[in-house]
Amino acid sequence: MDYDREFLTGTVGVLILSLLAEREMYGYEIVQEAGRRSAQALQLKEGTVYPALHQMERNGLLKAIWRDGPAGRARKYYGLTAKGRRRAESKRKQWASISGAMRAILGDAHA
Amino acid sequence: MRDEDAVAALIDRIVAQAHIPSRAQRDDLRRELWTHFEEASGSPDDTRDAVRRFGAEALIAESLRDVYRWDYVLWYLAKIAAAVVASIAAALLIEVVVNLRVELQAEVWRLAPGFSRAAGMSVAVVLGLITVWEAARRPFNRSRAAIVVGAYAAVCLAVRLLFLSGVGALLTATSLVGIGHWCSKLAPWPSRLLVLVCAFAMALYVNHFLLNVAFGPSRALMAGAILGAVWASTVVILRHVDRAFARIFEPTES
Repeated sequence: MDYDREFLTGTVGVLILSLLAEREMYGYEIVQEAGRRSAQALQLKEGTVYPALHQMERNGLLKAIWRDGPAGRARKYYGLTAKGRRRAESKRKQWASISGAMRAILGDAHA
Repeated sequence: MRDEDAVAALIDRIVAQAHIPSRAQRDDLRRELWTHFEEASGSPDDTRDAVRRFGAEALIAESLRDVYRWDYVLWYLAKIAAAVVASIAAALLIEVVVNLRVELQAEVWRLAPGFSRAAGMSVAVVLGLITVWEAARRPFNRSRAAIVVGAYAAVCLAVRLLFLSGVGALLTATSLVGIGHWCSKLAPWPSRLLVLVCAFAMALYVNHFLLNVAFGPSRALMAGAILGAVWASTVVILRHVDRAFARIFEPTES
């Protein structure tokens, strides 16, 4: 499904923080994981994930490290810092509250 | 072009447009994007599909530019500061050389009485030229032009508040910069400088004539030549500083 760009603005950050709260991942893996979990409903333009990752790294939410992946190839893995964990939790709560409110407005059939 | 080369070119363009000042960070981003395409594509068809899925190059570069914007702004301010300091130093050196007088009997070196006024005019011309240089830089950017013109106006205002007598000199300098900028578009390099010196001399002559100040044609020509030298030295410095600034953001070989 194609979503409006404005609709997705702000969700990329939540999505990245939520996925990285579970384990360290690299950029392509984040995109793949988001697609897999949403049954391909949420297909990001893959390049958009990198500016978001770099911004969050500069803001001290993420730390990055190069290391070999399962296939033996070096990948840049991102993980949450303590500040990132707090932000992830805060964003998750905000998102739950907003989605609950939207569900109440639209009705369960549309949520 | 092979798909691999097309991907490498795409990555290079994105990294270059991101305006990242640190070479290490540029190399890191290039390596990261390269590993992305390595994993996202296996066959030529996959590569083309990976490029399509990657998204709009300009949009991604712009988003990355936003991430590193403050680094860029700091380097840009450092560039302007370096250009101002070096150009003013060169202008003052020229003024000192042409205004230095030797009194043989007393064996004393001193500066001509009109030195401070001439030096002030040269400094004002330098500031005006740097303003025009940055404001008219291509590709034209409205915000950048507004900021540099605003900064020049702020300097003029500060001069107006600190030295009431400096306003006339700034207005003259501003008009000279306008003339100089117009002349710089007229002819190729050697004749351009000649036209510039003559235009400066004529403007200074007319300016003094209107103010009822004695200023002969030969003196006007001399003053025009000095300002021409200041102009030329500033242009040379600005070109060097621009090249050095561009090198900071140059893409490195992958």
